[in-house]
Amino acid sequence: MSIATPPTDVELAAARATLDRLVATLQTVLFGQEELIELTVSGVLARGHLLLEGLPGLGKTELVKGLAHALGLQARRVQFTPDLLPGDITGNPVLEETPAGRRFVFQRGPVFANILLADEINRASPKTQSALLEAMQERRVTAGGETHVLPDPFFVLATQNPIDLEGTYPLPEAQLDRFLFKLNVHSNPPEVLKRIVLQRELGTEPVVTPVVTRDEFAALLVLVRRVHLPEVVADYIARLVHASQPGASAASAGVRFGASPRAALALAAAARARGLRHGRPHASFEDVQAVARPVLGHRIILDHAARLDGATSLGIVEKLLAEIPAQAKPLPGTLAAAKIA
Amino acid sequence: MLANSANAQPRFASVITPASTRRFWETRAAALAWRINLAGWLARVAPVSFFVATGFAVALYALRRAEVPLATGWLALAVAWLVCALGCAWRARRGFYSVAEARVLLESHLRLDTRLTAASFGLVPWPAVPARLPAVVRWQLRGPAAWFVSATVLLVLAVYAPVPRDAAGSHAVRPPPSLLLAESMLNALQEQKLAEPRAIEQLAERARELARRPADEQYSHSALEAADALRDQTAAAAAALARGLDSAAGALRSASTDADMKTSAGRLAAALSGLKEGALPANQELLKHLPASEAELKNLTPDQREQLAQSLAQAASQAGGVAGAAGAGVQVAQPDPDAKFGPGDGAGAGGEGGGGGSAPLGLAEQMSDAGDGIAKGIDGDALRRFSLGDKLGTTTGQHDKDPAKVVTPMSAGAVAAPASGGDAVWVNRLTPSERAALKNFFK
Repeated sequence: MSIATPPTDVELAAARATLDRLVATLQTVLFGQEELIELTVSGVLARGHLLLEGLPGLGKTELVKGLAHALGLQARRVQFTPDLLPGDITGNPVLEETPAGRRFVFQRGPVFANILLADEINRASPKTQSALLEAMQERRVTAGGETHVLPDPFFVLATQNPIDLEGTYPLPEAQLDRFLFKLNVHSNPPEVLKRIVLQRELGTEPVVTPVVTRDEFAALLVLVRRVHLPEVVADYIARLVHASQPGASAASAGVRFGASPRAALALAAAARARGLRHGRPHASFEDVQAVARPVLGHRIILDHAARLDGATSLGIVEKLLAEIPAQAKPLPGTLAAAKIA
Repeated sequence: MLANSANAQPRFASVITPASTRRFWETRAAALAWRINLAGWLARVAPVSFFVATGFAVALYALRRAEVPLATGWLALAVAWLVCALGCAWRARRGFYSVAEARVLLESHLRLDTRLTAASFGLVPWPAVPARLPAVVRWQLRGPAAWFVSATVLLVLAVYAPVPRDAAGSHAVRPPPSLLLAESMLNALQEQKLAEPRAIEQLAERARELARRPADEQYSHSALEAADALRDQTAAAAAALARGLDSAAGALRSASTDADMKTSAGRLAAALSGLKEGALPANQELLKHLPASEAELKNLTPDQREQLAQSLAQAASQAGGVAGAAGAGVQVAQPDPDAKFGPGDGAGAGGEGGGGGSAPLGLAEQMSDAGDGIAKGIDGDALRRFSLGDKLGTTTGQHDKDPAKVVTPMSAGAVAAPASGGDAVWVNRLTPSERAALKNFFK
């Protein structure tokens, strides 16, 4: 694997300034969710699709809409319902009357945008959900025997509620694996709620102006790929993902299916994006550890016994991070790692 | 001078250059790698050292039991440990850290965002040198220390643990006393050079043959009999030699009062004949100095005869002493230098019923101890007349005499046959009160 030229200091500084602007703008949309915003930005930089899960009213949709506006990209929102059909997402061939005669013309669906906001994605039928599979993975849509390439960049930012699950269709593992991050949106503490009450009004959306041009964003996406991934970090990612397999480590007890190689690629991409976000020309162990939870959390499937015992996928990821050290070689028994205060 | 002062200035200033920063981190990584590798080697070599020390402790103790110098053992231990240490280093090499691996450990532990690795590739500058670098690893030496302490204790025990006395020399059974006595008499005769060496050698060969017997046969009945016979034969031969020498001395002395010296010459010839043909012939060199005929006797001056007589008498005394030692039951040979010398009562009386005195030299380091029990006599004088078998009713009390045993002196002179075993004598002696009781009974 050839190593691309790492970003220069000038490029890194410019990228950091741009991303700082983007983050600052998003923080005017969503209060008190700095980590969520950072991960969202990192996920977008890594060209990943994001799944946000949280209770209604926490600002998931607002964040996604604000991101779309701040990036100056074309965004479309689809409210997923049980009666939504695949064609409603991807588009349908319609019969068009022309002077030359009748012919079928493909009417593009809302998926043909830079950002598709799939609101409450788990309410759509599996058939409709799976219509997104090809779009998310290959960034193209096939309908009526014709393949249509989606605009570049293309992101799916989906939301789902963890409650009121009656009549919903949980996303299958194959589709979950397509999401780079699954981000949990938590409720706000009192001081954040006070800020929301003081600065927002019900029914009025915050005004977000584009702070990153389309070209700047495209340059950022190219720059992310030039971020160097040291071999030792790649080795760490590989060991971490492998350890998630059943029986591969003590931490994976209760795991039915571990993370896939796609998860390793996602970890590497997300670590690179986070490294760029922090102005570094390389990814680090700390970057991997920071993105491991949203990357691996929805990719590790537990068995029933573990679920009954109250184990969670995020708990498994925490154990993996604690068990797998950055340095593969173990210390001899006559030495122990010192605790850093 | 000024230039020197200007050059000396930066030495005291804390100038941190990229090169020095790099050197700082590389040095720390190398030191960490060295420490980890040493710890890995220690973890392997500690138990191996214990097992090596265990083996050598046994070997050193065995060497001490065999009274072999330990220098070779220590040298072998050092070589063996060195070989094991090298072997452990070879086995542990897979776990050894390179500097790059130690660098990864350092940066991950200090949460440096992989900057050390990136800096080594030239991607970023080396991180600033911290004011104080926290320790990355700490020693856990309880396990190795336990192994090493145990190994040391074993070696110390092997060197300083007391060796049982019976194991200090050898496990060979000590030859029977009779054989030892015979050997010591032969040694004494050899040193005195009074007897013909060939004859002494024949007797000595017999003694050596007896000594070469297996340990479990040393105290068999036949071996004891043979040893006793050799001792008696040696003593008798020595006594005969002493008598012959004494007779020769007497003949020489009588020549001074003998006018024609015929009688003295005859006695001397008889004595010389006895010396030549005895069980232990006199030394040929000695006999050459003695006058073999009447003429030679006459050629000697009275002083020469007297001097010769004195020499012969002294030789006779020496040979008689050897023979007398057998009767006294003492060793003639030089005592053990380690033995403790007691005062003793003087030599035994010799002769019939010889012995009588305690040995002048205690050849054993420790005297036999009868124990600290309370000795109580048995009441009743009559009990003295019963043997233990009579008391228990297992014997009839009839004296079992050996009719074939002839208790006569084996030779004339000062040495008689020593008391033989099994000759317990039944003493039928009644006290006055018992006699009175018997008289009353048979009235």
